[in-house]
Amino acid sequence: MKNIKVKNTYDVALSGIPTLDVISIEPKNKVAVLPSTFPNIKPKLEKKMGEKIKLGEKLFIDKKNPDINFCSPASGEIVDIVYGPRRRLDAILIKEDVSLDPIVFETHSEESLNLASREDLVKRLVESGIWPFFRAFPFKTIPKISEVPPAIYVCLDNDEPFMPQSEILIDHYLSDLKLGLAAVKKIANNNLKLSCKKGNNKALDALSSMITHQLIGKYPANNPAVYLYHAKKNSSENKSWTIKPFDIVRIGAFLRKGTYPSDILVSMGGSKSDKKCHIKTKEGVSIQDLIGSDLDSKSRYIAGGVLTGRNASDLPYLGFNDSALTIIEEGSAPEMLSFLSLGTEKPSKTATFFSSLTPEATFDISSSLSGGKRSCIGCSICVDVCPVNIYPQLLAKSILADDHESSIMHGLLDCADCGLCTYVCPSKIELGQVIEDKKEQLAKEVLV
Amino acid sequence: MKLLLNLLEKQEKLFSKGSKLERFYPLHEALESFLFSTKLVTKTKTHIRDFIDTKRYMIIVVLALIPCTLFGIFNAGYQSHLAAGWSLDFLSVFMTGLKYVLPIILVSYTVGGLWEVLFAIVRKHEINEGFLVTGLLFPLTCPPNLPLWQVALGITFGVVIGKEVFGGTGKNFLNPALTARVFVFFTYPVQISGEVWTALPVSKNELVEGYSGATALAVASQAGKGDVALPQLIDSGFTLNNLFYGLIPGSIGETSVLCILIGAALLILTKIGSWRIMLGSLIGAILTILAFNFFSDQNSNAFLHVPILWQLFMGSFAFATVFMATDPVSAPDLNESKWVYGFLIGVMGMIIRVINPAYPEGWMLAILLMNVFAPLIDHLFVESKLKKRIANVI
Repeated sequence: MKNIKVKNTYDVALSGIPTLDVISIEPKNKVAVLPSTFPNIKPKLEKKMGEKIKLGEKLFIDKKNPDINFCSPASGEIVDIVYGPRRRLDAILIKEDVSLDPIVFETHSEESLNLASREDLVKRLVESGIWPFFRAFPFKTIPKISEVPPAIYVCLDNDEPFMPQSEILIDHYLSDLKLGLAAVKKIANNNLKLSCKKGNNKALDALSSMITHQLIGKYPANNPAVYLYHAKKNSSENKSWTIKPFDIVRIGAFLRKGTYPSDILVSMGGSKSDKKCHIKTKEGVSIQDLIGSDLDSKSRYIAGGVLTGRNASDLPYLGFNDSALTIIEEGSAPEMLSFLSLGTEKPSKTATFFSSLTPEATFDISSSLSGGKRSCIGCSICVDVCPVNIYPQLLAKSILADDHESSIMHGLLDCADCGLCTYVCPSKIELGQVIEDKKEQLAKEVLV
Repeated sequence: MKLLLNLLEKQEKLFSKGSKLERFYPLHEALESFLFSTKLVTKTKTHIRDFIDTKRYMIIVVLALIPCTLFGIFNAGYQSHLAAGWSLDFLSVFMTGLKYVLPIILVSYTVGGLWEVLFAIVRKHEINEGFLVTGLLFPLTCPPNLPLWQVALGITFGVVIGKEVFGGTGKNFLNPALTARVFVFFTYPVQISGEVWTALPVSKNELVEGYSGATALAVASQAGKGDVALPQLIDSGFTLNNLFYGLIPGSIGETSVLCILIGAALLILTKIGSWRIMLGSLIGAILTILAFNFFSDQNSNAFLHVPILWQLFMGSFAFATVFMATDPVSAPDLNESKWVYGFLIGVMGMIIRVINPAYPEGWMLAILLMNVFAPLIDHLFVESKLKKRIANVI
């Protein structure tokens, strides 16, 4: 077991962190499937409006890779199909009908898994809609079925504010987690790199033989791209894959039960959230069901964490790729001569506010931009928070100057999309968006 | 406060798209974002932002400059009263200082500000706050009675040619305040060099007997040969104490090392000013002074013999190192480059000051020269750092 120390990490002192309490919420309204939240696919519906569908039945495919199934997380009737700009398939809404039987697949135990071949396991995961849990670096796209990864990197822990904690996985889902890990290890041809936070004794005790690294550092030390960057020995590992820890639990649940694993665990928190805990619910649950009321226009609902999540106001559901709901204040009330304020309630990476006098405190942060957009002033605060040693301001400038080679040399493909550079920039430049857009453009060109 | 908000909101309609005054929108935006925090919210995956913005960033620098400014106002009046033999009572000294310094600061902010507003309107972007710093830095490098028309021309050159022509704050490669000063220095040398560092309130023959008004730099550079500079400095009334506290003739903001250190502490504690540039410059200067001291003998220029602390306290070394060299836009981006940049400024500035007989001080030129080299220093370090990455290409 090795230790990896990640430098340039920074924890945003946010309030509203979810506790380790677990409650259950069943969806009362429709559940949604959100094809536009999958990276780099061209979704094509395989079912029509009004048709009945079974749990685990093929719902849509990717035109570019039609062999991979995307399956329904519920049995019921397709009651609505929502299109975005340019006929983008945004959401498929399903009204649940439990009388319909689910699609049944073969079950497995750890022993039978050992005897199965990798090809068989891949086939099983592909036909059941589980395959898209895997994401391949550098673009974090869904890997082709024929690809074999050099390694699969998994971070059990995470330190973005508001994501599910590994303690709950170990306390409530240990057997499924172990079964899932055995499956992932097989897919990785035994090259599974499993990490936990340094000192996470619960995980170390429960999974001792499987854990290969302990990660030291604040956010985003426990981010798979950061883990890969620090652990890789040469460029052959750049095409490694990753998978979220709870998705591994879902693989285990699938192998054990033989049906699509629609039970999910999400963390809910944020300064405007009534509940700050973990929730057992179903994939596709609506945000209204989770909060118990309608959406409030004065709050921002984020599917995911505050630094990397999706604004869920337009599609208020937690889909296949979502594992958290964060609710913060939308915008902030106007403050007179704000730049002269003492700022005891204004956290900053710099020490320009009196909030630095209380380093242990947590703060309510809204979605306010907290400043106007300016040009880059060369302050280099972004460099101090990049965990993969990129110079974000130089990378963004070379992307905006269309200097392709220079962007790649600067480490464009190493970027972990952690959002810290965008968070700290005083000129409010969308560094992360510039980098992400370029990666998306490259992915379209390179991945056929 | 609500009244003000409502007033601003009513005003906004006057400047909105399609109205006659649409092109003056940057003015309205500047006023609104100056008075009240922004209404903008995040629109990408990073939903929260650090509370630091460019306004706060620049205000901290202005705050760091306040001790120098206040002391400079007092000192300008003090030196005048000393020369004329007038009372040294605090209030009258401060009033005299204000009479000289305040117009320079006002002209600098007003004329420069007008240019900034013009460019913001023409280019359709918000007025950038970098000017808040440039507008105060430039006056602090001027003698207390620089003609106001020269102040206006200087700041115009600095803002327009030093910054706006390249695209505004963030896109310039030279320090705008220094560009302004260097323009005045070369175009109108008479009122910015020589015996101009004390504002004389009366004619020369009414001055106190024996008054010289020479700066420490002037004394040391004309001291002759051999180890005679220090005795002459002491004879002229300079001590390490008054060089440190700053009640000596000089440009408005440069004399008090104490006030500059207070400013430096604020900049370093808030992590706004690069301590690497400051320390690099100090190390470069010290090593150069040590070399001067070591390699000089009875036949060399007396200026080479001046000991370290005296050499560091006199002139504008402290001011330039703390406030001019640390301008983040014209300085290199990488931390490693900042050391080299600072070090070379320290070395070059000392060489120009001591060895070059044509220039009484070296920092303005050293910093501008290193501004030109900053991209090259960055390029060399970036190349070497990027080679160490494990290649991740497609």
